[in-house]
Amino acid sequence: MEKEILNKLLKLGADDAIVKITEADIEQVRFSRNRIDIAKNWLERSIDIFVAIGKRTIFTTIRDFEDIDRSLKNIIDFAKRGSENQSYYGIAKEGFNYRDIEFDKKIMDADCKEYVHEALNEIEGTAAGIVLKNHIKTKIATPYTHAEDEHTNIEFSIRVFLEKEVSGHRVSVADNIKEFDPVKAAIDAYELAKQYRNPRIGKIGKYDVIFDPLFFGSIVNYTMGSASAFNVDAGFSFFKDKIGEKVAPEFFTMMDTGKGLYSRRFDDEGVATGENRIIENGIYKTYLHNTSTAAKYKTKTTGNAGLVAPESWNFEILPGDYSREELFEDFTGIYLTNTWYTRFQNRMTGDFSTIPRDAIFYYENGEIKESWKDIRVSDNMLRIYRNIAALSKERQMVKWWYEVEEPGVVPFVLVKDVNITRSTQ
Amino acid sequence: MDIEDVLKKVEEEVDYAEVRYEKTLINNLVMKNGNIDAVNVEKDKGISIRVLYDGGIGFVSTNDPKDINDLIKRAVKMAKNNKSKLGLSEEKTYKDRWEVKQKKKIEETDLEWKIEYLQDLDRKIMETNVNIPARIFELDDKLIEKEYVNSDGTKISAYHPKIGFFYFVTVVGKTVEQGYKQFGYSGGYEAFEFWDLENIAVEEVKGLNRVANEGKEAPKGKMDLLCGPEVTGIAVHESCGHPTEADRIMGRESSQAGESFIKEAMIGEMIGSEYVNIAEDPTIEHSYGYYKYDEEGVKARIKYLYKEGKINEFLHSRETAYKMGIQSNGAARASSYDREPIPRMANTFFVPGDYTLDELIEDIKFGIYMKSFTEWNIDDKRYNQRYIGRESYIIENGEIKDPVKRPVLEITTPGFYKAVDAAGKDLEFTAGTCGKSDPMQGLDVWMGGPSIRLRNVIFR
Repeated sequence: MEKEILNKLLKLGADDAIVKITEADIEQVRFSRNRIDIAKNWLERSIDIFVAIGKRTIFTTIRDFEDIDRSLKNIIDFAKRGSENQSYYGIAKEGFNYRDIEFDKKIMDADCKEYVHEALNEIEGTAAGIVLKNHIKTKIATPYTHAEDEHTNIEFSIRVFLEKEVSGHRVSVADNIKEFDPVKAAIDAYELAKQYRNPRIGKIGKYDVIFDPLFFGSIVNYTMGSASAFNVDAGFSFFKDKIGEKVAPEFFTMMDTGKGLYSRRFDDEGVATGENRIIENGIYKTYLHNTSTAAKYKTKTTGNAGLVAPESWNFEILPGDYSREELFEDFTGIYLTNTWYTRFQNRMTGDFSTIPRDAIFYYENGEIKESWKDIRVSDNMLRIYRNIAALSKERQMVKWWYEVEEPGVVPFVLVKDVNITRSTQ
Repeated sequence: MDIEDVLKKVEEEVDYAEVRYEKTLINNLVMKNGNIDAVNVEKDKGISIRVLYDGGIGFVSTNDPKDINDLIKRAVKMAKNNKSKLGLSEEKTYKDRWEVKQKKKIEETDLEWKIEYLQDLDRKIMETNVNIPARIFELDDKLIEKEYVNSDGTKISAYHPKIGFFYFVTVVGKTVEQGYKQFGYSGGYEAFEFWDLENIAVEEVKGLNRVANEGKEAPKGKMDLLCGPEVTGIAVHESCGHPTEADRIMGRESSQAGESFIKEAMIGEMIGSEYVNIAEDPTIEHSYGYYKYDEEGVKARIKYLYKEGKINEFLHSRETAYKMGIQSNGAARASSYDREPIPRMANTFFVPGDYTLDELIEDIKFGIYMKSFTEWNIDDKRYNQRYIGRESYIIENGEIKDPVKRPVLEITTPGFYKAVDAAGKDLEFTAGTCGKSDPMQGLDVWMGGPSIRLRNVIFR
């Protein structure tokens, strides 16, 4: 069908076109206060179309399949009436060596509600969360390539409360059923909550902080947007003019990859996805590009074309040298396990704040001294990366709701001199 | 797709069923630094079915009619498996149709006119001679047709045209300052005049330029605060609207958007001064959050969430109302047919008082006028919030003086509302996209209020 639509668009006058068809079967179970609130199932189909006539371009998403031929004519008519897009430099004509990415069919048969019951059986207190499984098929056709993709993944997220304001939150996310362990996530969340007793309001100041993978995953989640070349031009990036500069310590390497929880063989131009080291050995290496932004920056596409602008797919931080135990040994500072509501006061400078939630521990000499609450990390993204002091060997794949919306693999991260604030009254 | 036929197929097998249908056409333009970077069109049409059986709820959705019979079976099976002792409150039934009127119809407004408007707006802000190296404009118009039926007998249809716009500008002077503002309107392209968009955008870049070039370091310590309507609006949205959502109070959003410092038994407790009155009203004509009936077919009405400083009413869906043994107040919304309806805000605002802006300012000896905000956030129990001024000024002896850079207010919810001692007459609304639920449901809302005065708050 994608080839048929492509040919029709070319006959109608498109100079270039991309047609991507996506089919999704998604199931979710939500639970709270130890019972299932709702079970959901979506069957969705969509056709994404890009058309260029000269430098006039248009993107369309069709989820209403009535009279497709008329929709295609309208798209061409619309493209002709638009103004020229001076940022457009064509779509990819090469870069189509796709790698095979296996997907686990067993995920499709997983019983979401059973995972909830199994997890709840292992813990005390009250818990809330979700189980979500995705089965996505994608086909893409351009005048220069045709490809298909299929992947599955499964997510479990649980927040356990033992009393008011005493909670732990963990996730288990995987692209194969063998690595999916919701029971362990539930027990870990419960154990975190058990350790987090009688929290008191934290103190302001500069602290060394160990960020849990779930927390640092959120930091990276809000960082990857700054790597998109589109956002660099739009004033949304604190990485503007940073290519070639040292932005982190030498042992720090962070990449975007097409293989992960949200695996994809190709981007929205049909270009094969790969690995792009954004920060390599502490040096900022590249923005993420599609064909048009790459032309502007006199480089090659990185295989990150989204429908409108370059996007990242899955992030990964390479492991460090420390065991988790070594990281906490003699540690004095704060261990932060989760966060939410990250906002910037200036996206070009990277000034931001984020609000730690769930278990927060103040450590002295390697031991938990107090549980804290009601604090805020109020700092600067560039300073956070610059002040990274150590990474753990152990890494976890994380993805959680909107706060770690893009999935990734992250170690525990020790950062020096993080600014902590709280309410004044 | 006849949704009454779908309802007939499913209702016999369950205790309750509802079917929602939507057909949507969205046109979207993105202009970056004067260039039209994207012209997007999105066409969607689909249905969702929600069923209740023996206390279990199942929800299914598709945009392909051939899946419907299969999905009905899945919905019933999922509900039967759940056995959660859930229910929906008994509500009055309605048969009605509503629509929002347009003066300059979206259907008759062509692409060229929209592009010219954005290009003209870009020219106007560049003619200020302010250095604005990065500028993003995004314009959306939506035509939404909706139908709703449920097995209680309610049948509602609606036609809802909407316009949304935002700008994000980066101004470079002695420092770099960034400004963002979102606009929303139910109706046609008369929205641009309603918003006074050109003047606001021009004033925005001039204000940021003053801060970037003349802004002094923000004073710290205890002083008075005058919040402009934009700041009042974000505060009431974050620390009144969200904590009064009944599903949060009952823990249903616990692992996502969080819970609430407010508990069910706290109705009537003081949260602020006697001058604090905050309402939530979906029935404001042409508002971004407008609706006549919510997504469960319950008639919309105004709610007073905080009244004379006391916690007064929560936002309910039929599910939360059933749990509390009361009736819904028509706050169940969904971002699209493929999302479940849950308690949400629509248009939340601080109820205006009697003061003019001059009267609010004249007896401030020393304080900050926070006209607009940049960074903001609040914890997931909605208690500790932070607002940083975007365009802000010193007030000294009753007069507005120098601009100041990014004053930081970090304060608890009662700390904020107990400090309020006066509210102005100058009610204004700002549009926003409110986030909640899983999968995320970004919803069109207005938030607003007049200028309000707070005494003796601490800036850090």
